Amino acid sequence: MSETLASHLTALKPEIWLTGTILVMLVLDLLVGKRSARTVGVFGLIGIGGAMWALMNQSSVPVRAFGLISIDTYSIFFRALIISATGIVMLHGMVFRGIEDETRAEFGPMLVGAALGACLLVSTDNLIMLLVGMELLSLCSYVMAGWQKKERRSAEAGLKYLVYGAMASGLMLFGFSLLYGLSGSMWMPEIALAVSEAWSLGDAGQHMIVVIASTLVFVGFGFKISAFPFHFWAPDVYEGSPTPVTSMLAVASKTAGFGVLIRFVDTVYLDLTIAEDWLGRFGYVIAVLAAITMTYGNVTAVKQNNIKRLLAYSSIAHAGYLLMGVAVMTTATVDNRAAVGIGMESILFYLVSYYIATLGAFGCAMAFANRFGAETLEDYEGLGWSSPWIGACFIIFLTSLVGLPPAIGLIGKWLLFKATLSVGLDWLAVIAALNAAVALFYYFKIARALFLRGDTDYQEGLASKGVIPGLAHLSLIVLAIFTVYFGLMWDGIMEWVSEAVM
Amino acid sequence: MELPFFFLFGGAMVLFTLLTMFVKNPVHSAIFMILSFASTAGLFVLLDAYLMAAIEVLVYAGAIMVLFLFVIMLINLRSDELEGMKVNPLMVLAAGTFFALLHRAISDLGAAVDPVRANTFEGEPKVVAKYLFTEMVIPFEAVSLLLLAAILGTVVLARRTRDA
Amino acid sequence: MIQLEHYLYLSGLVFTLGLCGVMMRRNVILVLMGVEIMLNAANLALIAFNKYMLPIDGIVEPKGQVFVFFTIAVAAAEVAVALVIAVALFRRLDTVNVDDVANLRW
Repeated sequence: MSETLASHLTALKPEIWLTGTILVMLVLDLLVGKRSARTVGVFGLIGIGGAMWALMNQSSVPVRAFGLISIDTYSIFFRALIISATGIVMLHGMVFRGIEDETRAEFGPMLVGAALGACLLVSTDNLIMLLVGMELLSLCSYVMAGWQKKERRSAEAGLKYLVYGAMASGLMLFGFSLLYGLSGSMWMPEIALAVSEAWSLGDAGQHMIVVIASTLVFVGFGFKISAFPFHFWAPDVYEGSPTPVTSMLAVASKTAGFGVLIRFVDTVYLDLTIAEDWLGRFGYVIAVLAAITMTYGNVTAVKQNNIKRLLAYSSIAHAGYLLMGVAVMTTATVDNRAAVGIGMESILFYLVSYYIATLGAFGCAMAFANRFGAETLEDYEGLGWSSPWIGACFIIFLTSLVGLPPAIGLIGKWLLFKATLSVGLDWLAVIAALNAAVALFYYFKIARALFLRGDTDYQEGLASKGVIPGLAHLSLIVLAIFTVYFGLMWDGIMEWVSEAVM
Repeated sequence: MELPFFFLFGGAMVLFTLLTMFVKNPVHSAIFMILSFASTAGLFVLLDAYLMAAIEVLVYAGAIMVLFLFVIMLINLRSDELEGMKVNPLMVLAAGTFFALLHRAISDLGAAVDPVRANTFEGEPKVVAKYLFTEMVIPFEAVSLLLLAAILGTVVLARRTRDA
Repeated sequence: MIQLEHYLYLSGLVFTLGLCGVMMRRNVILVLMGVEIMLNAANLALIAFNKYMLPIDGIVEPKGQVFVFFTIAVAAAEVAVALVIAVALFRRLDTVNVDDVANLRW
C-alpha cells in the first residue's frame, strides 16, 4: 500500500513542487515582511525550476496517478509549456511595473496556483478532476485580472472575466451532468463508449442528448481558448489586466484549454467521427468556427490602436488557426486515419511557436510600457531606435506570429496548412492564407511605428519613465533567439511533438 | 410518499427561482434564492443524498446568503437603481428553444431508465465519504488549494491600500 | 410514481430560468445569483442521475454526489471572489448595473 502510494506521489512530483512553492511563498511573505517581493519571487522561480526539473525527469512510460491523472508524453508536453511559461511570466512580473510593489509578493502564489490548475487540467481524463483543475486555473486568473484594483480598467476586466467565466462553467457543468447521466461514469473512455453507443444505436432523442451535452461542454472549452462565439471577453480582459497576467492568459491558459479540448475530442469523439460519415459533420462545424474565429480576430485587429488590444485580437485569430488542427482531427475518415495524428501534431507544433512568440511579444509590450509608458501605436513611433534590442526582438516575434521566414511560426503554419489540405478542407486553407495576409498588414503597422516613423527630435522629447532591466532584456533576447533557431532547425521540436502525440 | 413531497419541493424550487429572477429588490432576491436552494436540499433528501442536502443548506444558507446580503448592504444600492428583469423577447425565444431541445433529450433519457433501479442506491454519508477520501483524494486536495487561492485573492483585493 | 425524468425536467426548467436571469438582469449581483441557480440545477441533475444509475457489480458509486460536493465548494469560492471584485469596483463607481460599466456589455 505504502509502496503504491509512493509511486503515485512520485508520478505527481511536478504538481507537488508547485504546491510546495505556493506554500513556501506564502509563508515567506509573512516572515520577511517588508520588501519581501524580491525574496518571494526568487523562491518562486526556484520552485518553478524544480517543477520543470521534476517534469523533465518523468519517464515517458504512461502512468496513472490515483486513477485520475495520466502522466504520459502528451501531458508532459503540455505541462512543460505551461510551467515554463509561468516561470517567464513570473520573471516579467518581478522586473516590470504593472504589478504594484505592495502586492507583488502575493502575486506569485496566485500565478503558481493558476499553473497548478492548468497542469491538473491537461493531465486528467476524469471530469471531476477536470472541473476542479479548470476552476483552480480560472479562479486564480479572475483574481489576477482584477489585480490592479486602483485602476478601474483592471477591476472591470476581473469582474467581466469572472461573470462570463462562471456562466461558461455553469453551462459546462450541465453538459457534464448529461454526459454522466448517459454513461454513469466520469471517466472519459467510459463516456466515449456510452456516447458511441447512444449515437449508433439510439434514436433521435439519444442523439439530442449527445449534441446538447457536447455543445455545452464545448462552450466551457471554447471560452477558455477564446474561440468564436465565446471570444467576446478576451479583448477587454486582455487590455484591462496587468500585462504579465495578459501574457499568462494568452499563453498558459489558452494552452491548457487546447490541451483539454484535444484530449476530450481525441478520447470521446474520435471513434465516432472516424467511423461514421454523419458525425463527420461535427468536424465541419469546427472548421467553420475556426474560419470565423480567425477572420474575426484578424479583421478586428486591423482597426486597433492599443497594442495590448491588438495582440488580444491576434490571439483570438491564433485560436482560429489552432482550431484548424482540431477540424482536421475530426474530419479524418477511415481511409485517411493518419490525418488525426497529423492534425494533432500540427496543433502541438503551432502551440510551441505561438507560445514563444506571444510570450515574447507581450514581454516587449511590457518593456516599452515600462520604459516609455507606451501603449498605443502612436506612442510606439520611433521607439525601435531608442531601444534597438527590444525593438529588434519585437520584430522577430511579429515575424513569427505572421508566419514569415526564418521564424518558427512559418513552420507551424506550414504544418497546419499541410494537415488541412490532407483531409480535403481546401477552402479552410484558402481562408487561413487570406487571413495571414491580413495579419501581415497589422503586424507591419507595429513594425512601421517602431522603426519607420518618428524623428530624432520626437525621441528626445520622450520622457523616460524607467529602465528596462537587464534580466528582461536577457529573457526577451533568449526568446527571440529561440524563435529564429527553431525556425531553422525544427527537427528537435518536431520529434518532441510527435512523441507527445503517440 | 415521494410524490407529494416531490411536487412540494419541486414547485417551491421553481416558484422561488422565478421570484429570485423577477423581484426588484436584490435583498428579496437573495432570500428567495436561499429558499430555492432549501427546496433543492429537500429534493436531495428525497434522492437519498443526505450529506449533500446538509452541505447545500450549510454552505448556501450559512455562507453564501450572508455574503450576498452583506455585499448588497455594503454597496448600498440607491433605490432608483433597482430594476426588475428586462424581458427581451429574443432571449425568451432562445431559452424556449433550449428547453424544447432539452425536453427531447430528457424524455428519452428518463424513459430509458428502469424504475426498479431506484432502490439499488444508498447515498449514505459513509459511502460518499469513503469514495471522496479514496478515489477523489487529489481533487479534494486541489479544492483545498482553490479555497486558499480564493482567500488570498479576497484578502488582496479587499485590503484598503495605503494611498486609497 | 416519480421517476428520473421528473427530476430532469425540474432541473432543466430551473437551469433555463437561471440562464434567462443571467441574460436579462443588468445588476451584477443578480447575474451572479443566476449563475448560482444554474449550478444548482446542474447539481440536482447530477444527484438524480446518481440515484437512478444502473449498478455495476451490484453497487453504484456516489460519483454524482461527490461531483456535487466539489461544485458547491467551487461555487462558494467563486462567489466570494466575485463579490470582492464587485465591491472593489463599485465602491468607486456607485453603481452595480452592468450597463454602467463600459467594458461589461454583451
